[in-house]
Amino acid sequence: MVLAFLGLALFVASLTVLFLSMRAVMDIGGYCASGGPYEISATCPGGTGWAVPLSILLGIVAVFVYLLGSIRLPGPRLVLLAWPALFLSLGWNFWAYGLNPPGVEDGLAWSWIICGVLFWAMGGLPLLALLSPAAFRATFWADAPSDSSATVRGSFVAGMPPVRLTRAGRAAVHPGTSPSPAAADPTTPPPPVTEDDVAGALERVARLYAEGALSDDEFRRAKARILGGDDGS
Amino acid sequence: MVPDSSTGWKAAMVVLHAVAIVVGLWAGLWAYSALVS
Repeated sequence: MVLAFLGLALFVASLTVLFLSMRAVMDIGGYCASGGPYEISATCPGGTGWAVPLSILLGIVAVFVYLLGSIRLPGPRLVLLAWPALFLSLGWNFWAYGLNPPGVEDGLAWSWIICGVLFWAMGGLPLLALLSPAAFRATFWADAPSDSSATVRGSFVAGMPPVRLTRAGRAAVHPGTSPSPAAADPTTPPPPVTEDDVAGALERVARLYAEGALSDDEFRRAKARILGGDDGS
Repeated sequence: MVPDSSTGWKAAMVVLHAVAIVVGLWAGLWAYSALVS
């Protein structure tokens, strides 16, 4: 949780510094240089010469820190929004300075407007995927990940539904319930379910739920499946 | 304390994200004003 907090705060801080540094450079015409043996025509304002590359580097590190910190936690999952956040915010700068270039009374800076179009396309087009409800939820939210001993997640991507295990798969997850050869034969009726089986299964599911390995929905479906033979979905 | 999908955890994570964004914005503005002047 601390990593998620630090990663997100560091990313936002890095993007803020990059955003403001970019505007400072654009204020003096859009390019600058600092250091080195050459004669410099436009010196970078303040510390932007190193603030820009440093903020980019820290921003990339922050994304991985946030990913590490949030991958096992329920709640918002904003890592996929880092790309649109970067390109839409910097694209805003290109648009703002392209439409009102500094030092020009009346006119447009088409080179910056073209950059703005490109940046907004790069940042905005991936957001069209959010029109899909599944992608929307996977992007913004994740339930608590289940422990591998209880449920096998369908994907590394947060929010994907858990894989529905086959009989053999359930046996692999729960070694005590390995299928007999007869159980593998679809023509053979399954052995009768005793009350002890049901009670034991309910106890196991309740324990996993209490430990946080199962989400509310997974617990409800598992209980319904045990009691009624239906997963409730 | 084990993360789960209870309402309490969800609310805590939303608050955590909101605070992190605000703190990040403040830190970015502070860093820019302190380092780039």
